[in-house]
Amino acid sequence: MSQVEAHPEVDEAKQRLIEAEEEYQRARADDYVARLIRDSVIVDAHRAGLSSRAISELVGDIGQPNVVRARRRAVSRREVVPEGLLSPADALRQSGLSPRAFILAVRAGSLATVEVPGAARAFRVEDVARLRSAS
Amino acid sequence: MSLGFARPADLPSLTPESDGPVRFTLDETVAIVEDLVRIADGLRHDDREVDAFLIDLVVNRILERAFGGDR
Repeated sequence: MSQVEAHPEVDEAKQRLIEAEEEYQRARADDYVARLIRDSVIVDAHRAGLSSRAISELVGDIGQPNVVRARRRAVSRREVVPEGLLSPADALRQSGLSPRAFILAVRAGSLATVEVPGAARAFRVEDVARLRSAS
Repeated sequence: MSLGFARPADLPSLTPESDGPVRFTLDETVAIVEDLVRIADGLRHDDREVDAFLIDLVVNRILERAFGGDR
């Protein structure tokens, strides 16, 4: 038994850290799932005949040119997104890889995917950045 | 009726009865993704964010398939 394991307060702190990390990861996944749900609703609306303009008037953070331009000034699309997770398309862009290299990197396990509910996959910003710097 | 383009000889045609999965090679998938990403980036450049977003969703679906696995 190591010295660290012998101290109950250390074990308690370690457990709190594990729980906090799990909660943090769960919150990030929940954000991503919420976004996926909204994405599917947007697609449904588009298929139902709503125009892109009509959708943009109802959806908060896309399709508003002034907002988009302001956001681009503040945060480049190449930088960290608030949720901490990237969709496959955004991960591809941020990786700086060709689509072929990106697909093969995922297949080979060089770029880990994050499993999120709803049979969707996402990527951690830091993993994509690591792959970009390594390539 | 001719559609105005030729089908490569080594690709099977899809009959009206076919309802199975449509498979693309990696080369074809890469070409499709490259085209769609370019289109989405162009739309985004023109501030057509919703249209770009919808194209990105298609890219996501294609990439998910290309990664492999049971999805």
